[in-house]
Amino acid sequence: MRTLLLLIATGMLLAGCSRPKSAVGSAPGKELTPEQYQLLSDKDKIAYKNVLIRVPETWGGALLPPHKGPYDSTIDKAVHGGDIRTLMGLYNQALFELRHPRVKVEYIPFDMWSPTFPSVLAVAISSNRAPSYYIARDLPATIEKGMYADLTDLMKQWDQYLLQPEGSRRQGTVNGRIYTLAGNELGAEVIRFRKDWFKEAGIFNEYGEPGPRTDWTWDDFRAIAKKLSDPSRKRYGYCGEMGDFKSTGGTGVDYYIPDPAGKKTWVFNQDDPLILQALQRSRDIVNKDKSVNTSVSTTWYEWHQEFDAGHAAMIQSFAPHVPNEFLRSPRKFGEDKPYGDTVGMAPLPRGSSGLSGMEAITNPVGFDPTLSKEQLAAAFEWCKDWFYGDAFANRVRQANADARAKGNVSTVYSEVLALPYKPNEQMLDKPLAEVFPKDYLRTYNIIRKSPAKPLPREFGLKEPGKRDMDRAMIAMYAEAITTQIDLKALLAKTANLVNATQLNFRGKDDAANMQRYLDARSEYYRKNYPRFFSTAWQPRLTKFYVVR
Amino acid sequence: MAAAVSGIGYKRAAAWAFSAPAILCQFFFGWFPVLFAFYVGFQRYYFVKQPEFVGLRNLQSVAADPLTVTVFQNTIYYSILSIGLTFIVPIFVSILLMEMSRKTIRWMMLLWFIPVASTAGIAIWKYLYNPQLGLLNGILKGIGLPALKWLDDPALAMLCLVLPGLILFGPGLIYIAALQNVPEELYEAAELEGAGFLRKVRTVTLPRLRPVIAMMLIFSIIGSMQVFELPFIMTGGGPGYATTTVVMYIYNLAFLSYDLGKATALAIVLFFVIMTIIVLQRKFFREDLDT
Repeated sequence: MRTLLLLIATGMLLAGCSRPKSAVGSAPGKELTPEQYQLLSDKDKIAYKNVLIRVPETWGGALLPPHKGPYDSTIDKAVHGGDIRTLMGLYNQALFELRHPRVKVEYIPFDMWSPTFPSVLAVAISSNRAPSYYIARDLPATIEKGMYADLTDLMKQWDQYLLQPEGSRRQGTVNGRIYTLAGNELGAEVIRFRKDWFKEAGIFNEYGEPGPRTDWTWDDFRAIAKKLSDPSRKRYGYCGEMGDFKSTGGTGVDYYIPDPAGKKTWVFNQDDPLILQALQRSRDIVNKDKSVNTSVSTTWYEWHQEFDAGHAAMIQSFAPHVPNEFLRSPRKFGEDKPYGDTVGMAPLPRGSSGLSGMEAITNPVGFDPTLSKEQLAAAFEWCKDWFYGDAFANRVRQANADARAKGNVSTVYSEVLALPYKPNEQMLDKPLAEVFPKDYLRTYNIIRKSPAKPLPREFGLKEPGKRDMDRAMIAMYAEAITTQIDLKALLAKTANLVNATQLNFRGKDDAANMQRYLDARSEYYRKNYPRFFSTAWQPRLTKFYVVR
Repeated sequence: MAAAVSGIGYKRAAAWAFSAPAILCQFFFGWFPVLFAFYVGFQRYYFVKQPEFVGLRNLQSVAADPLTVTVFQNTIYYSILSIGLTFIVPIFVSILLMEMSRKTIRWMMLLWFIPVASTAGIAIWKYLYNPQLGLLNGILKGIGLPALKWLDDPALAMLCLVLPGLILFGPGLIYIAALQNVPEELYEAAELEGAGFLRKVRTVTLPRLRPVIAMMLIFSIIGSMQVFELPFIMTGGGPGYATTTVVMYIYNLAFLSYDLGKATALAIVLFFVIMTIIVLQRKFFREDLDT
C-alpha cells in the first residue's frame, strides 16, 4: 500500500514538473512561432508536427545513402564522402521545418520519369502513399479524373503567379480553376544539331554561325537533313522516334476541329490538305530521301545515344537538356571538340506561312488531392522555397561550391537559365552570357517570348487527353512511314478510330463556347502571326471550323 | 476411439493451418482481384473520387472501339504463330533429340535453359533486329541479301516477336523431361511388332506425351493470349497498332488513359474469350491416356 501511495505521489510530482499540456495539445488552432517551438520538449516537438508533406527525392528532395558501408552512419558517409548535395537537402529540410513548426517534411523515393510512373502514381494516390506533389501529365484528362488538388486560392495570393509561362498557366486551368503550378524548368521542344557538320556543309544562320536560321521551315529542315546525310560515314540528317513527325503537322493544323454536324464537340480533321502534306513529307524524308533514321524499337534515350555517337546531324530535344549537358559533359565529343562548339540548339522549324509551333512549357506540378488544407499550403510553400526561395539559393551555393572544389563549371547555371521564377537574390559567380554559347541564349530568348495559344478548356470545352491523341497520331505517322497505305485511306481509318474513342463526347453550351474559343484563336494569330492569319487561318476557318 | 478422433481432428487442424496462408494469398491476390474486376468493370472509376455506377457503358465502349477488333486480331495472330512455332515445333525437336545420346541431351537441356531469363533475352533480341546496327541485317548483307526492316515492318513485326520464343526453349525442356519418363519397354514392344521410327512416334511417344501436351497447350493459350512484355519492350505496340495486343491495350487504357472502367471491361471480355477457348480445348482434346 505504501509503495502504491509513493508511486502516485511521484507521478503527481512529475506531472507538476512537466510542461503544461495547453502549450501543445489543448489549443490546436494556436500556431507556435519557431522560437516557441524550440522551447518544447523533444516529445512535444514530435507531437506538434502534425502536418506531413512527402517530397519526392528526384524532385526537390535528397535521400541519404541507403547503406552506411564502413562508416558509422549514413550521415557520416555523406559528410566524409563529400556528398554536399544530400547534406544541403537535409539542411533545407531542417530550415523549412524550423520556419514551419507544424510541418514535417519527409523525403521519399518516387521516380517520376519512368514509363511506369502513371500506374505507380495511380496506386500511390489510391493508397494514400503518394508524394505531396508530382509531375502533372496528360492534361486536362488527369485534371478531370480528379488527380490534382485545386490550387486557385493559393495561386491568387502568390506574387510570382504571373511569372509562369502563359502556356503553363493555361495548361493547368479548367473552367477558371487552377490545378497546376509551373515547374522550375522552362523549355520547349527544340532541335539539337551538330555545329561542326553544319560548318562543313556551309550551312549558316542569319548571325553567320553554323546552324539553321531561327525562322527555318519544315521544307528547309528536309533539305538540310538530306544534305547532311552521308551513308558512307553512316550519318543521317536526323534521328528520332516516329512520334517526332507529328510536330511537322503541328504548325497551325489542328488534329481535331469542331464537329460540323454538331453531334459531338470535335471530329478528326480528316480533310485538311495540310495534314495530308505532313504525312506525305514524313513518308518521303524517311523512304525517298533516306535522310532520317527512325524505328519503333528505339527509345528516346537510345536515339540520343545515336546522336552522341555521331550517327545523326539533328535530333529533337527538350530545351533544358542541351545547356545541362553542355555543363555536365563538356568533353563528351572528345578533347578537341568542346560541347558548345559541337552541339547547337535551334527552335523547331516553322510552317511555310510562318507559324511557329513552339510553345514555352514547364513540367507542370500537380498536388495530391487527398492533402488537407494545411498540408496543401505547406507543400505549396515548399515548392516556392525550392523553386526560387532560400532552398533554391542554398542549392545554388552548394552547386557552386561543389564545382569550385572539383574545378569545373556548376551545372546550376542551366537551372537558372531555364528558371521561370525570380530568385530572391543574384547568386551566380558570373553572368549567363559568359557561360553559354550565343545560340543557347538566343533560343531561350525565343522560347521565353513565344506566345501561348488559347486552349479549348479555358472556354469550357472538353478536350481529349493529350497523351491519347498523341498515341493515335504517332500510330498514324508510323503507319504512313512503314507502309504504302494510301494516305487518304489512312486518314479515314484514323478518323474512324479517333472519332469513336477519344472524341466521342459532347458538352453543354458547346456552340457558344466554341465560337468564343475560335474568336480567341483568330485574335491570337492576327496579333502574333499576321501572315499565317491572312493566308492560312482565315481560309481554313471558314472551310473547316463550322460551329453548330 | 477418442484418441483416434482427436488424432484426425489434429491432422485436419494442422492441414488447415498449413494451407491457410496459401489459401489466403490465393484469395487476396488471385480470386479477389478477379471479383473486384467485375465490380470495377461497371463503374466510371477514379483513383481519388468515389466511383460512379455506369451499368454496361464500359462494355458498350469496348464494343464500339475499332481498336478492340484490331487488338484481338493481333493477339489471335500472335497466339497462332506462337503456338505453331513455340509449342508444336519443340514437341518434334524434343522427340528427335531423344534419339541422341544421354550426354548430348543433358548438354542441350543446359544450353536451352541458359537464355530462359526472358526479359534479358527480349532486350537482346531488340538489338538483333535493329535495322542499322543489328546482327540479323549484318548477316543478310554479308551474304548479299537485302536488309529487312524487321520490327519496323508491320507485316513482319509480329513474327519477329514470336521468334525469340522459339530460341528460348521453355516448352522443349518440359517435353524432354516427360519423354525421359516414357518406359523403354513400350518402345521395345513396338520394335518387336516391327514399328519404325515414325510409327513409334505416332503410337507410343505422342500418346504418352498427351497429358503434358494438354497441360502445356492450356498454358500456351493463356500465355499467348495475355502477351504483354514482348511488344511493350520491343515495339511499344507499333508500327501503327501492328503489335498492340489486348493486354497491352488494357494497360494503355488503365494507366495511360486512366480509364480503369473500360480497361477492366476489356479485361473481362478477354477473360471470357480465354475461358471459352480453354473449355473447348478441354472438350475436344482429351488428356486421359486411355481415351
